[in-house]
Amino acid sequence: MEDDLPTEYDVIVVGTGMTESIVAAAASRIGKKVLHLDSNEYYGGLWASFNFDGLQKWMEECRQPNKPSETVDASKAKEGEKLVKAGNQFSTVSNLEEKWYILEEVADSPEGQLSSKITQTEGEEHPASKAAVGPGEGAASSLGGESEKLEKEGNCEKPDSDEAKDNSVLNQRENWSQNKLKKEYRKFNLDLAPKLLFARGSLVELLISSNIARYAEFRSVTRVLTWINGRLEPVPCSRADVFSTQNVSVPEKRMLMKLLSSCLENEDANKEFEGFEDKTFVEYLKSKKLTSNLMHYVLYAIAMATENTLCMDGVNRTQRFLNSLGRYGNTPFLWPMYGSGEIPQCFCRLCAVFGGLYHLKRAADAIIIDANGEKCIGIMSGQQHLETANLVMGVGYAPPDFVKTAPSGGLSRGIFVTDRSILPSDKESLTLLQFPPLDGAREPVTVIEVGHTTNACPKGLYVVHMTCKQQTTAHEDLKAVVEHLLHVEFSDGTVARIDTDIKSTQTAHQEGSSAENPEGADASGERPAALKPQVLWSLFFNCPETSQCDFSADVPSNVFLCSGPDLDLDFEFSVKQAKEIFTKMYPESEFLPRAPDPEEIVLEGEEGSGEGAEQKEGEEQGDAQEGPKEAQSEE
Amino acid sequence: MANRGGAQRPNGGPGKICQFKLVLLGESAVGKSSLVLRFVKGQFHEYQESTIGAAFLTQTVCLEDTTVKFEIWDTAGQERYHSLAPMYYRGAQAAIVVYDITNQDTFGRAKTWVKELQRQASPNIVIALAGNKADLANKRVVEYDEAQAYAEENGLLFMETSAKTAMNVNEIFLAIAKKLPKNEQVSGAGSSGQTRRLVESEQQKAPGNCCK
Amino acid sequence: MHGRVKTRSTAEQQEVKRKEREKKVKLYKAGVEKLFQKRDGNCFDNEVLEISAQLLCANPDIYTVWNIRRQVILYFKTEKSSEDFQLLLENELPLTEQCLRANPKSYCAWHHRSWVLDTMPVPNWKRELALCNKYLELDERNFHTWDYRRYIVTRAQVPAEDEFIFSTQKISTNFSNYSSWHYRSRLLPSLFPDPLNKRPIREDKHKEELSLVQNATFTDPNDQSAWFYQRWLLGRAHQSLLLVQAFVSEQLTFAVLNKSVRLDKSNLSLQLFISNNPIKGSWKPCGCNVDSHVWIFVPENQISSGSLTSGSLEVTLHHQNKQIDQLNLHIKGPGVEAWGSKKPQFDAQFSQGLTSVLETELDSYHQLLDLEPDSKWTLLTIVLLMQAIDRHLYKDDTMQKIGQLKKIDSLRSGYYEDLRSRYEIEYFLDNQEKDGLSHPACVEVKLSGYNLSALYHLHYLSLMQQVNLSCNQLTDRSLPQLHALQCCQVLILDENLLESLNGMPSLTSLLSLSLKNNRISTKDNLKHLVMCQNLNSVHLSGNTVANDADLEVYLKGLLPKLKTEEVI
Repeated sequence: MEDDLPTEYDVIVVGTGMTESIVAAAASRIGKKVLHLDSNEYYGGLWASFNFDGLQKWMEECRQPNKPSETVDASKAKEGEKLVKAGNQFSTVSNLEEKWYILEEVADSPEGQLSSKITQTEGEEHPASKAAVGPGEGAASSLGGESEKLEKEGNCEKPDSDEAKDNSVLNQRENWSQNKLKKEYRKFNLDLAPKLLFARGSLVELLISSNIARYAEFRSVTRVLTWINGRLEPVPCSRADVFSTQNVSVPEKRMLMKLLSSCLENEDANKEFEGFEDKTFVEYLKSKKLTSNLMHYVLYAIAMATENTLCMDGVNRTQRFLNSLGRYGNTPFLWPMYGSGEIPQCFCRLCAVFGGLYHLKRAADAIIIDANGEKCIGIMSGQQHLETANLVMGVGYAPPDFVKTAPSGGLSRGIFVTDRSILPSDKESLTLLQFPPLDGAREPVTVIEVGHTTNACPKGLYVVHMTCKQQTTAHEDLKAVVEHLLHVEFSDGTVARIDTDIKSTQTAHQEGSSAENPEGADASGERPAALKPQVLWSLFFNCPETSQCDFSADVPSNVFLCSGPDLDLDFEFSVKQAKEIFTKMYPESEFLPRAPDPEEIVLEGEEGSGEGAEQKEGEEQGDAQEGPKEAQSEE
Repeated sequence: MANRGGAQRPNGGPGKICQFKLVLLGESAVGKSSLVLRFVKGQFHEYQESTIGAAFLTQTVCLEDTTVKFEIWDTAGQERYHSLAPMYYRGAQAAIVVYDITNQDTFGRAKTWVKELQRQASPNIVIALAGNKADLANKRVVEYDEAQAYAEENGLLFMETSAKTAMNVNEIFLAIAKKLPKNEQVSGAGSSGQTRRLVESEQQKAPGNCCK
Repeated sequence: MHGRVKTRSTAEQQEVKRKEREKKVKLYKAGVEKLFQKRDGNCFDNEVLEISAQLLCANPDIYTVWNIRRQVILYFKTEKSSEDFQLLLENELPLTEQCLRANPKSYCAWHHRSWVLDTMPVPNWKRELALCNKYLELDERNFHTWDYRRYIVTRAQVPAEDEFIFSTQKISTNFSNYSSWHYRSRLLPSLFPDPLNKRPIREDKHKEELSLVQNATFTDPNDQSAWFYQRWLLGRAHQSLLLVQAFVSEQLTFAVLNKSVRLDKSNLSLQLFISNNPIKGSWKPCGCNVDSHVWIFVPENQISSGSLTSGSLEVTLHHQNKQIDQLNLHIKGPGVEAWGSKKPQFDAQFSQGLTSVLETELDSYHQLLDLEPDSKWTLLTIVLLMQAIDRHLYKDDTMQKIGQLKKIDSLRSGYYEDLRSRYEIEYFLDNQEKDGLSHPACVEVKLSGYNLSALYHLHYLSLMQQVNLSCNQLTDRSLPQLHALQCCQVLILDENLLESLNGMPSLTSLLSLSLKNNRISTKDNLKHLVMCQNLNSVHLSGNTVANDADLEVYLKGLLPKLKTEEVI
């Protein structure tokens, strides 16, 4: 039951990851015949975004032991051809750990909760027992805008109608069960590789210049947070933020603005940074006599650097941040609606629009190499022998021989579905938090929190993504940050969890005197555990990081390997890599020239297509081979 | 031509302008692109090639008090091997699911698309079912009544169309335009809430205006 | 190959566009012609609306077309039911929106929109307010939108509190916005008036606003809009109008006010009483403007010297027939003249509370100056603050900072020079007061050697008989200010930068004028001496014109009382 594909191509692209998709689009755009395959039934590979159900399926696949490799039928090779079996070395994730923190089912009556079964998927032993509280003993708090009320659930007192309305608007106190969450599976878009776009980054520029931007929608990240003095704080990053913030004094405001300005002034850079060439960014900041608050903001949140970052690197990172300010929204970042997995698909669509052929669930089983092993002839896909001038391949599919210099690096990822924001505010926020390396921890953790307005999850819930460089396992690597930000104890929905600022002393007092403070965390000076978002579900995994390896060494000259997701915040690495691959294949051609707008599209024979239509027919034959492109003017 | 082009209101004013994303779905070769080209360009070609480069067209429909601008997305052939990217119908406010009245399979496939949309697309999407190639009535295998009954059951708009004779082509788009919810839009162009398309004009703002 | 897609080349597109444009121009011209025909024929129908709408969409700035449109609409008002008329006007709104999309600063379109709403039976103000919000989001600095917003707010009776919150929001998104700061300065006094009338708004709010501005000025010291708002906040309390000097003699009678006003237009009047009898006559502004500090009395009957011998003399100031100030005059020697004078007031006279706020502000801006030593706005603000807090304490500092400003902002050095001149004169007048300036017979007012570039407050010298303004940087443009020196008999302007006497006011008391070492080159530049007919000596040595052989003859021709030996 296999579809027959045409058998000759200019470019075959295997895998629908980011780099692969950009290359596919770029080749198709200049009229090349492109076949784009993916063995999965979804787009994106390790760059994909899934709904909850899709993610479960993906995990299932991940958990299955690697299928015994099918033997490639060597008889399909023609004379003088060698078959090299495709691999899967870098397409798999490891240390997958999924966990629920809520009951499988929540009955309407409080009694029902006891009979509910607590289930856990594999993972560590869970600490649920501590938190379980019998009915009547626990108290459910109702969140009514700014005024908080604590009510004994046993009283079954309903908040008065106005408040009830507020509650439904905020929708935060809903009791979520596993089944309820699963029922809403379609409302989730969970990213394997969450990425933000710098408003003036290379991807945004490419999307605009190629006119692919019209396929996608974005939301601006609304705030940048940092972790300072044991709590979360918004980072003043735009001029308006600096003006409005209450967290820094007015002289600090000037110092901050002044420092940022001097980082932006390229011409004076030589003088400004003289003597710091070999020193760290921190040393430069210290020389500016910044207060410790400001140092923290600039180093960790704006430059997103560490204490070891060199001065000029720090300056460049600061520039990258500042240059992207003021274009869209209040921060330098954009988040793709429906998740990062949309972006590769946008490029795939452009590829298809210009004639690229798409086939999911179709693998490249083997790569056909000429007898010398120097050139790739094509691929074996199922029973078909498909020839191509160039082969572009996600590193995940590359035969082991092609990637001898295997990368050792990896990413640690955590995905959390929570019941409120890590720092609640009036409106739903879209948050970036670069969690600084703390207490001797080596690596900063990138935290992105998205809510339902991005279609990441149902209303009232949040999705928190954490990413850092892998050191041990994802769970271990992220543990400290998770504990700082999230409440990861089991909750059966009956525990009183007061969410508000600690402004109301009365509430704070009740809080302190209540027995349900499982961690006694306020003793440590941190925010009480009850203020943190309750995690409903979490997933940890490690994913290979292949952006550092050199792919050209062991491959035939017309084979180009593409990296998987990298650690950087943006897609810039993929854009760069795709451009390099394209330029190697077609050094003379423009990389993703602007696709025409609807108004510019004329069909042959259409009125107004210009008087010269007839004379141009010969020319247009030529066009046909190269595919559509801007017709040359006759002048 | 009556409903194409100019957007003048009775007393000369422009009325409000609403913009909608409309996607076409259906099996290969049922005439999706032909419908669009008939609607947008008023053209028909018997041996229409696959629609390279033109999978995104716009057309305006004039209602009594509103101008509806359709952003019409064609599948660009991605449906051929059942590989349509989900981003295709993201945020679509309207869809036309097309089948070929001379081909029973395409009707079955159309039903699958309707289900897919009901599952995946936004809950308020307006779906129209188009039985295309109505000019080939002598080769008909999908009965009008059968399709209409199905459409009624599923709350779809339904028309048999012919891109060749232009039968019901403008009408089906007009019917969709009428059914779409037209919220007050002061500025016209349709970005909802805080979501944004990236456009060139916003480049004009100076970079790094934070410090300048 | 049917149906294959290609795209238009740039040249093709341009050609298509050119043709479209040509067609449009043709249509447009035809439309205008038809429209005017119809109007001239008093033919008011839907077609006029259609044509004019199309014309306006193409160009929203033709006032006549809007006018014709309004004529038609008003015609329909009598023809249509109220519902239909409402509907007709409703449809005008999208039209103006389209026009504003094309040109957001179209006066005509904005005006038409407000006309439509005023004409409409049931205007929807909420919708309009929402529209303003939306437009201000797109362009927060479009003052047309701000103006329109103020109109809507008045009509819809939006509480000032709401608008204040709105302005706060706008400022927090972008404080580089004159319009929103200005809006604030309009809203605040009505929301939080100062019960003591000592500052623009209530003390607590005043402090809040000063701190808000400080956040803006520290964030971006180069942004003018915040500094301008700060100027408004630091502006001195409203000073009431006072009579500060008066003089009565047989030949000359005048009164001096602390502000330059126009009596008739402000419902103000002056009255001279001698021995409690009102003296009939009229008051004329001194100098060439309609408003003045100095008002000259023209009595119906000449004031006889005999009336100055005994009894009381006073001048009163009235506003709408209510006396608001008075000044008692001293008689100097029987039968000669009488005069009265009050101490000039240059201190800000802020309350203790506010002064301490200003002192904190001053500290902060010194901090800012440490960080930004070349910030002119910071320097200027420090100067203004020092002047408001304690003029005498900060005298040297003020002068030094102004010197600095002249250096870093050399383009505006003239402005800073004038500012310094004003302060110099104020300090001078303060000191003179201690030395008994109020005595008109005092020997000589010596405002000499201060490098003054401009003259201020000369009306406080109206009683002085000898004024020495030598060794300054005065130019011709300062001459009109001299009009206040009504009693001056000897005026010394040596060592200045005068090139002519153009602008010299009429000074009837003036007997001797010294212009040594100026830059007067030709006789013609002296022709305005004719304004001072009683001059008997003019000193011109050190000017090129002094070498002119015909000078003496020329001057004698101008000034009949001139003594030959006094032309030097």
